[in-house]
Amino acid sequence: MKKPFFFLLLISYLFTYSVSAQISVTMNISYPAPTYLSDWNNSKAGLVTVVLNSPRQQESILVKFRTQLQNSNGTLIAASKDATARVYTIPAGATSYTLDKALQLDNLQFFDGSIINKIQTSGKLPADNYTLCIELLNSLNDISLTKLPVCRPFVQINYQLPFLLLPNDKVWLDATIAQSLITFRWSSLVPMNKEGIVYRLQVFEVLDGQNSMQALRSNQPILETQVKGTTQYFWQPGLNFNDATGHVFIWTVQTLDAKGLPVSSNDENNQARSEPRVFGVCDHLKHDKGDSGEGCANGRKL
Amino acid sequence: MKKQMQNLSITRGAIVVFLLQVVCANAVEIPKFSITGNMGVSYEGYSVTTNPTTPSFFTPRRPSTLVRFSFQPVITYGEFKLPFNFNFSPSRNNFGSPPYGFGNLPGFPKQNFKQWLTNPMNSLGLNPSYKWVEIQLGTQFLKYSDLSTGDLGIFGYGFSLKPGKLRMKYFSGVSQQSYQPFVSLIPPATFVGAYKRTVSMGQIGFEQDGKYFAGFNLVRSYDNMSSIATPLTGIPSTPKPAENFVLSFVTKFNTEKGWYGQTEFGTTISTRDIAALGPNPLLKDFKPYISTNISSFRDHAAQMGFGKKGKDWDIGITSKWLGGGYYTMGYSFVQNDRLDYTLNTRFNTWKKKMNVVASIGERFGNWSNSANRTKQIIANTNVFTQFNEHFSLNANYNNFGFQTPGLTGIKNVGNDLGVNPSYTWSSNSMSNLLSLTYNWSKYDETVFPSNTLTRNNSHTAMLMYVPTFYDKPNLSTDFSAMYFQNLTTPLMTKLKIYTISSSIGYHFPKQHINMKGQLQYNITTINPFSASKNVLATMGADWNLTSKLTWNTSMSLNLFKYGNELSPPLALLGASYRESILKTSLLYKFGN
Repeated sequence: MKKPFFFLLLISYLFTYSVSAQISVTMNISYPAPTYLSDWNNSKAGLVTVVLNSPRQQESILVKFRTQLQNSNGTLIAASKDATARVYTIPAGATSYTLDKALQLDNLQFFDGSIINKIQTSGKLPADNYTLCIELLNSLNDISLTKLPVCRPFVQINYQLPFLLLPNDKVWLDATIAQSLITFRWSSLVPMNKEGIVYRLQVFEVLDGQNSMQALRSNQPILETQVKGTTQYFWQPGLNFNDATGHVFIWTVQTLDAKGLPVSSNDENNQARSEPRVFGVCDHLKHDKGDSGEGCANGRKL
Repeated sequence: MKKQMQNLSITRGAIVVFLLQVVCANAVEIPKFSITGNMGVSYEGYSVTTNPTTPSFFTPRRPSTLVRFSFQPVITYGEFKLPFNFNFSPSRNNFGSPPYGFGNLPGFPKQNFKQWLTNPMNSLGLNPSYKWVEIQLGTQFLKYSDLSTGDLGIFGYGFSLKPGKLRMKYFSGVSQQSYQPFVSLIPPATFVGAYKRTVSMGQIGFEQDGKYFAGFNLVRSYDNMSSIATPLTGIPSTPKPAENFVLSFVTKFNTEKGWYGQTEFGTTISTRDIAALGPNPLLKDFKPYISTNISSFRDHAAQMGFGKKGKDWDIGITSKWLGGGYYTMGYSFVQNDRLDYTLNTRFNTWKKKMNVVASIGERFGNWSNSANRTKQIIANTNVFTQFNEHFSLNANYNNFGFQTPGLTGIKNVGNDLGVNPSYTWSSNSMSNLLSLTYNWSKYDETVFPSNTLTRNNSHTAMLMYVPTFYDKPNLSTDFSAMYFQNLTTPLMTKLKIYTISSSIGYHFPKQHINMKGQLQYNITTINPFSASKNVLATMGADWNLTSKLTWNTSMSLNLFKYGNELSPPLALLGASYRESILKTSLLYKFGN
């Protein structure tokens, strides 16, 4: 006899509470949106603010977040599971949560097979325009406490870093010309960042006894310059190439965004450095250069 | 009787000598002891002065001093070998690895001994071996295959065993020591720190030298989470501690008929943040090697190459595919999500007077994203012809065409054509070499944000003359002149470079000294600016102090005076800088 009475009282209380208390939710997603899905789980992905206007200042309510993700067609591609969503206590007034608290990646269920495959293989959503929606649920009955879901669009861009085009990998350049000029060319960042990007061209000299990756990791660059609006650079080295052993260089391009930070791309280092290339300079009129990949006279190898 | 006794003793002596010879011939040879290799020290001093000193317009491009030591003897005793590979420097530059050029910030902690040991500037490796057993100690650059271990130096220990056809390898070590984050207020700079990274690798397979190999590679790399006390969480933040597992299967073969080939299939599981929540509902653990969490993903890669070569020719095809999530910590700069293939050939023809090397292929980037997939054609041809003993001609053509889909897609398209005729003639007193090089280069690119197509047309012409005087066999000299022009349209920017250069060398046979020097003068113009001028002077000497000890020294001076391209500000009108470099080294060769 007591149980029905208790539930009646509870429902009556909740009804009264939902009428008397007003809840509003706002959401901000940081720009640019995180590249990797797992990066949504850190505190920098965005912020959710819940404002509870309650006549009883000491009151608090227990809520859950319901999250939904739609692609550019408006198709629902992922949703959180209400039953296993975490429960939060919201006090009266404004409370801010980092977006990962609302998103709960580990509680998100994806429905689209191709998207699941993309996440499994690369850890990223496919490049597209998405909409993230959040609702606040009453933790006891999973009834929505907000009139409509709060939605924010975001763009998922998966950049491809430039490929280094010229000089070709493992070629010997003629020392007499190279002493005056070496031309560097690389492909553009894809897709192009409309806010503008800067290419930081770096050339490292590979010293005797080093391998090229040692030189790139440790040496001071012999050329470091920032290039805007084009993908080529004419370098006048001003170096002495007049010796028999030849000189070996490794070069790379780092792609920086408008803030001067490396663009978020596929590279393991998070440095946005393109895959380096090696070239040599050999005075091959006076010393046999050998075929591509072989040594300069009896000296350096590529 | 006495004579008989003498004959007997002679006979006995002969028998003893004979027996001794037989014994000696059958005795185990005393192992030979030898030391080969070399050791040396080199110094490089660099200074730069600018005029004016402020505002800054030219930054030094070398450390002011760089001392490097090398110690690379190979000690051999019979079948025991002990090669040393020590190359080290007290300097710390580190521009492409932690601390990324921040090391010279005021107050930045000096590198400790462990950091010095694993600094990529230094390698200290020992590889003692006896027959088929090799122990690997210290810094090793172990490239098991193209898709697995990598090209980074790792400091640790391991072995390589080659009993019969069995191949077993193992190595474990540190590829990077931890660096604590460092924030500098003056000058403002933030170094985000780096976790200690440990790499363990193994290989098991079968091989017959020069004929075939088949084996599995396993690599596990992981960052030690506790190696950074307080990671930075703001912007910029400390990269998350990561973990990576690689499994690959490699085959290689060569046949007596000239067929050759190799294949490799690899899979990687990468965890971007060891501390992220787990388990991953989309990706299972791969225990005991790696446990996954929500930051983990798994992808694959494959590469293959096949071909056949004959006495004067070689033809083959190679292909490589790297999935968008294929990572190896050993090849940390490799660009993935791509597919490329290349057809290569090389042959001699026309009575072996003509040598042709050519390749053509395509590369697709963003392979997993068809909407943004990029396509690049790569074609290279080089033809060298020795018409007769006086005249030769080298011609080459390179093309790369990079573009993204759609009419308004990005384009980076280059075409380069070069010809290089050389002619030699001689008289009673001297021989002469005249060489002309001409290159034409066309490069079209889409320029952003205006989204316009820019065209570059470059011409390079270089003429070189090398006389040789028969009555002065120790003298060598050459003269060259070069002209370069690049016109960029529609901006109509024109860059012109004029260069003249001459070098001279002389060998002093009695003193065992080679002297050499060079002088080069450049004029560079970029319209609408006035010309900048550059003089490069170098001088050097190689002195064989003894048959085993060599002393090499060179000095160079680079003077560069700008036109008016740096001004405003007015202070930089006619600005100039002067670089001077002194290099000297001593090299000692072990053995005969």
